[in-house]
Formats: sequence, C-alpha cells, structure tokens
Amino acid sequence: MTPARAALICCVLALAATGCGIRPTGVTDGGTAPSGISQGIRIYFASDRGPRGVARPDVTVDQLNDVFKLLSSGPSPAERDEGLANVLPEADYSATAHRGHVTVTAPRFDVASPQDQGTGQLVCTLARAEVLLHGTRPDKVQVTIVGERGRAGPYQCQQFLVH
Amino acid sequence: MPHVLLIEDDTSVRDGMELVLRRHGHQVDAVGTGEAGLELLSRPRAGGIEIAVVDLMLPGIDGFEVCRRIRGRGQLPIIMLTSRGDDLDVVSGLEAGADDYVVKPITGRVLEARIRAALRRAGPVARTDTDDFAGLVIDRAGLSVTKHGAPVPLPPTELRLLLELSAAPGRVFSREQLLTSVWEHDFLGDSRLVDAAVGRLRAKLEDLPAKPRYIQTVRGFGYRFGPV
Amino acid sequence: MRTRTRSRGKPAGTAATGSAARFRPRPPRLDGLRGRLVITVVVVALISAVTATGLAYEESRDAVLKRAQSAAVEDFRNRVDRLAAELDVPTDPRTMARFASDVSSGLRGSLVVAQYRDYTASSDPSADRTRITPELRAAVRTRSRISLQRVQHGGKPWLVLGAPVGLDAAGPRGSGGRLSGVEIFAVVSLAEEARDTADLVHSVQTGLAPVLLLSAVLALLAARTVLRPVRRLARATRRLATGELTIRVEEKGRDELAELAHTFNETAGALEHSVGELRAQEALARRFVADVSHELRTPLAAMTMVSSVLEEDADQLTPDAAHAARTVSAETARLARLVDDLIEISRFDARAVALTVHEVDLAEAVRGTLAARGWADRVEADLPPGIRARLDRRRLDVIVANLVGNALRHGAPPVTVTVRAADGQLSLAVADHGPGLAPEVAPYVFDRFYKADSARTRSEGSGLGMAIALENARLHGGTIELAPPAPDAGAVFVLRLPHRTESAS
Repeated sequence: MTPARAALICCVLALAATGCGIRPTGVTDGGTAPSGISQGIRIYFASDRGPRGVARPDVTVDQLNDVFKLLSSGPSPAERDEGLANVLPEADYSATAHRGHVTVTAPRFDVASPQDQGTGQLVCTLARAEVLLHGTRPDKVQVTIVGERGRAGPYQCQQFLVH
Repeated sequence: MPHVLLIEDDTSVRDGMELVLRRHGHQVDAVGTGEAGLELLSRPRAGGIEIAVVDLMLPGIDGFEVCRRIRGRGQLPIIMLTSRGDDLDVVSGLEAGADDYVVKPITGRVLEARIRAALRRAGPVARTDTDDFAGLVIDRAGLSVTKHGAPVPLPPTELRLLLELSAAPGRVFSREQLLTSVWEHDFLGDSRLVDAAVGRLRAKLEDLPAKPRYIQTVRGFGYRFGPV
Repeated sequence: MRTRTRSRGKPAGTAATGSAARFRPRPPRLDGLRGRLVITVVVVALISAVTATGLAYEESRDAVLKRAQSAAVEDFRNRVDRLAAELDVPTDPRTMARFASDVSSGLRGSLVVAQYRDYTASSDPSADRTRITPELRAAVRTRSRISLQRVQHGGKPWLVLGAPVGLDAAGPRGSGGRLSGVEIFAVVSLAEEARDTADLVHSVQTGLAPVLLLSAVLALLAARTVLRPVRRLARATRRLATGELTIRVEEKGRDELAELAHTFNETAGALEHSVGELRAQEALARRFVADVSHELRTPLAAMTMVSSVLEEDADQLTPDAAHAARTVSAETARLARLVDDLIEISRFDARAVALTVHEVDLAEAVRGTLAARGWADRVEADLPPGIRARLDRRRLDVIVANLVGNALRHGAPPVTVTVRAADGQLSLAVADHGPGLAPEVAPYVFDRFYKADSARTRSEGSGLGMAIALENARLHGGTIELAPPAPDAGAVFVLRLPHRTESAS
C-alpha cells in the first residue's frame, strides 16, 4: 500500500463523510388524510369564549327558518358539558334573504349589539344557513336584525367570533 | 696458524668446515658434541686451542651451555654458528658470552675473516700505557683490567671494546664504528653484537649497571667512555 | 534477539567499516518496514472505522428522520382533524386564514398553507411557498392521502406535508370519505434533525482521530517487535562482515525471525569454520616453507664450504672439471641466497619480524650501501646531508640495494638516487633511464617470483627481491611506489617512510 494510494482513499472517505446529512426525497405517502370538515349546517351557541358553532351533520336545512328550530333545541348534552348554551329567547323568528343579505325578524329582541352573544348566535347561524342554501360567500353574508326597538346591523358573523 | 676447536653435529658441514679451515692453514679439532669439545678444552692449556667455533644446535648440551662453560673457564674467543639467525638465538648466544656469530651457510672466506678478527682482539695492542679512571685501572700492555685492585677478567672482544672506548674518553662512538673497528664487520653487521658486549661489560665494571658511569649510552648516537 | 560473541575476545568495532553507524537516530522513512506497516494498519483502521460508523450513522440518521417524520405527520393529521371540525365548506379566505394559523400554532409555528378553490391562505403570508413543490401539490390533488416530501431550501432541510381535508364522516348523503376541496400544507423545519445528524457526523469525525492515532501507535509497537530483532540481525551481519566471525545472535521463540537467526548462526559458524580452516592451511603452508628453508640450510652450509674449495682449486682441474666446479660454486651461492630470501619472506608472513631501530644519517647510509656493493661510480646520488631518521639500517640497506640493483640490471644509465625529507615523510627515489616498465607489468612488480623481463628467465635475483623490499618498507610504516611513466624517464621507484619510526622490538 503506497502512501499515495492511502492518501487517496482517505480523501475519498472524507468526501463521502461530508456528503451525508439529510437529503431531499420525492413525494411519499403519509397515511390517511385528515378529515372532519363539515358540509352541513352549523348552529351557534353561546359560550364563555363567545359564540361557537357546532355542526348538525344529519340535519338538512331547506330554508332559513329551519335553523330556529335547531337553535331552540339547544345544545346536546356533550355540548352543554363543554359550556355551550342557547341564550336566545324563545320567540317566533323569521328570516328572509335577498342577495346574501339576510333580514331576521326577532320579536322580543330588545337590544342587538355585537357584544351580545345572542345576536352572535343569530347572525352566525343564519349566515351559515344562507351560505348553504344560496351559496353566498361566507364573508359576504350580512344579517340585519329587526327587533323590538328597530333595526340592528347589518352584522357579519366574523364580528362575533373571538379567536 | 691458530688452533681451532670446531663443534658441529652435522657431519657434512663439519667435514666441509674442517676442510676449509685446514686449507687456510689452521690446526683443527672437529667434534660433534658439546661434551666432546669441553673435554678437549679440559686438557692442559686447553690443548693449545686458541679459538672455538660452536654450533648452537647440538645434541646433548646445547651451544649456549657450551659457551657459558667455556666462558666460565677462561677468555677463549668463541664464535657461534647458527642456521636461523633468529633474535632469540643471537641474543641468548651473545649473553652466554660469545664474541661473534655467523649464520650458516657461510663461505670459508667469511669464516676465516671472522676467526682472524676475533683473534686480533685477543692480540697485542698499539698503546702500552696504563690508565686509571677513578679506581678502574686499564693496563694496555698487559691487557688486564682491575677495579679497586681486584682483577676483572674480560674476554678478548669485551677487552678490545673497552680499550677502544677508553682510548678516547668522552668521544662518542657509533655502533657502526665499533662494529667496524672492534669486530671488523662491515657497517651492516648486527649492532646487537655491540649492545650485548656493552651489557656484559657493564655487568662486570659498573657499580650500578643501571646507572653506568664508565660506558655511557648517548641516545641516537652510540656509546662513550665517561666522563667519570 | 540478543547478540552475543562466543569468545571473550573484545568485539571489533564496526565503526572501522565507515558504513551507516549503529547509533545515529534515523528519521522515519515512509517506505521502510515501519512506515509500510503503520500506513497499512492506519488505512485498515480508517476504512473499518469509517465503514462501521458510516453504516451506524446511516441507520441512526434514517431512524431519526423516520421518527421525526412520523411524529410530524401524526401531529399534522391530529391538528387538522381537530380544527377541521370547526371549518365549514364552503369557506372564505378569512376563515381559511384563521384555520391556517390555528393549525400552524399547533405545529410549533410551521408554515401552514390552506387552499380552497382559488383561495390560498397562509399562516405566514411573507414566507416562501416554493417549498411546496408542484409534485407535492399534484399528489395531494390526486390522492386522498397525506403526502410528504423532504426538500432543501435556503441551505436547510424541510419536511413538506400536504393533504386534502376530508369531509366529516357522519354527514348527509354519505359524504364520509369525500374530499372537501380544502387542501392543507405544512412546511416543518428539519433543522433540529439536521443538527442531530450533524452532531452524529461530528462525533464520528472526532472519534476517528483517536482511533487512527491508537492504530498508528499499535502499528508502531508491532513494527518494533519485528524491527528490533531485524536490526539486531543487521548489526550482527555488519560485524560479521568486518571479520568478527564469532558473532552469534540469540534465537528466541519459534517464528520466522527465530528461524532466520538460526540460519544466520549456522552460516556464521560455517564461515568461521571454513575461514579457520583456510587460515590453518595457510599457516601450515607457510610453516612448511619456513621449515623446508631451514632444513635446506644445513646441506647448503656444507656445500658452501666445500664449493669454495672447489673454486679455489679450479685452475688445477681439467677445463671441463674446472667449469663444473665453478658452476657448482655459483649455483650453490645462488641457492643459498634464494633460501635466505625464502626464510626472510616466511618470517614476514609469520609476522615474526622486528625492527632494530637506530638513528641513522640517510646520506651516510645510502653511500655505505652503494660503496659496499661497488656501485658508487655507477650511480648518481643526490643525498642532502643532515637528514637523520630512526630506521633499521640493515633493512634500509636491503631496500636500497634491491632498487638500485634492479635499476642497474634492467634499466639503463644514468641511474639516480634522490633522498628528500618533507612533511614528516622521507622519500628515496631510484630512477633509471631505461625503457621503464610496461603498464601491464606494473601492477605485478611487487609480486613474489615475478620477473619483469620475461626474456631473462634466469636473472641474478631470486624473484623475491621486490617483495622483500616492500615488506621491509611496510615494516617501517612506509611503502614503495612505482611512479607513473614519464616521457623521458625510465622506471622510477620511490620509497616513502614516515620520518620518525617507533621500534617494534
């Protein structure tokens, strides 16, 4: 083994050593994809973190007014355990939509302010229903509430969601 | 012509040497063993023998021992014969008292020359006076040396060496000069002859042979007599 | 392995060889055994560490991501499920915007985009929506399942979830399972997971360093267990090469290295044995020459004595006998000289020689040599006075006589002898003006029994003269050189001696 050959081998090995490290790869499979996006109606209840939406996947909503029944059913026991509650007063609500603008008539609605979780419940639920029913872009839906003292709004659901 | 005692064990060599010596006019007693030679010397007046030529390699007592015994009895000139010329042989023979040595093979002419030189050392000298060097008396006519009255017997070569050195006290003689003048060798002679003779002289003359007074070494040059 | 010498003689120093020293610390070489081993082990450790941690990292990263993504998808589904219950279709942009921001706040503030028909709502309108790719949108549109995709944006990873939101199971007209038309997307940051994986990478990187270090150290240790014995063996081999034939290494264990050590020991033992044998044979041969020469001296002594008689009486013999007598005499003398030379040479070989050194005047010594042989008028001598040296005079005479004799015999007059002293060295040059020595002859001129002039098969010399002269020169610590051939000169031999010599006796 001549000294020249030995040096050469040492150099080759040294080079090989520096070529290690994390190499890029091609695309590989990573397992099942996540899921859980809901496609259906989402109704909103009040919580100590503001209005929170929960899905009602097995419910089909044909018209806007369907949501009121869902709201008044209240949260499920599991949802109640999580601190969700319905703060909307029982009343005869009715809503109409025109080009993404929903007007809801809410008798007994004294004050409708953005701080009011009940308002939030109404706005967000109706907004979701509007998106589902009429395909309006979610951030384009506006909801006006006609209450006892007059009109409030138009509101957008984002206003009520606290993150 | 001088009477020669020849002690050589090899028959052919002995016969050859005897032949040559006789042709030069010597009277020769040639024997093959040291014992026989010593026996001849023990006759009255050494049987007339004037010089001994002794081979070192002898059966029975070897040449060194023969030299020593001859020296023990008197001042007969002795020439050693060696076939090796090795340091050890030469030095041992000189210490045993030989006056000279020759290495075999040797021509008769050289042998004759050496014999004559040795005999000349034993012969008369030029000066005949007596010198007194602080107790060492050298009688040149009588060829005798006494130290504090006691006679010092010296063989001819040592005597001749002492006479030569003391004839010019304080003068330095090189070994080559002494070899030529005393031994009559050429300058290529073995200077160990000179050193051995000086050593023997010192042993007999000096009070302290390690610190010689009479015969002093001059390093790098040779020897000189005194100054006393 | 330990090195040890069998004999107790002092071990020869390897520094004498001048080769790579033992103790100099060597810098590590990458191509050596150690280097190769360390590199291999470290690389192996690196590879295994990176591979292991890389796999673990991938597993844990995937697990982290899977868990984060599952949790995100669960949260996404649950949140959307819960919030879908509050969403209705048809819906409006404001609601959708609220829905988107609600979902977002449950997904830790991740960007959430909700789409319905042509409305698009975002939890953070300023945030970039390109992270939601067209493919994802198509899948969400076509399938009813959660789709997810990881994207990279702005340098960060994001998990983008998308799903069509189905309708509530319980609904009118069996709407369960059907699509609502709402599509929801969430962009979740994977920054935290990215950070976690980055932390993982970072900790892997920081963990690597100690691992590598540890492996290197272990490899070095392993190398050492191999290298140390190898080095010891190398040291022993070097010492063996310098002539220390008694060196051995310790054989420990039974592995290949121990085997190698054993082989080395065997080889060293065999080498020691055969070298010992050779040396013994050489010594025997030399002793034989010496003994034979000595034995020859005795008959030669008799012959020399007798042939001098023959020579003296040659005139009284018949002419043939006279000739025979003179021949015998001459040949006996020549034989005697040859035997003398042989004995001299064998003394040199046996290293049984000693110098008898006295201070001599060179000029006087050379003159004496020339005079003794009657060459004084045939040789031009340039002998500066006052050059004294401690030499063995007899041996000097042998050298000068040989060189001058050769010059007179084989060269042509004028023959010159020049003595000089310079730089602590004496030089004595003997030159003739003859034909000189042929270049092919020059290397052999000091060999024994080599005769320069092949035409003269019988010259006066014994053939050992130059060899003896050279040995005498070497004994003084000097040498004899043959000067390179010059155009108008013959052979020039130069004796070089150190100016002061120590007596060997």
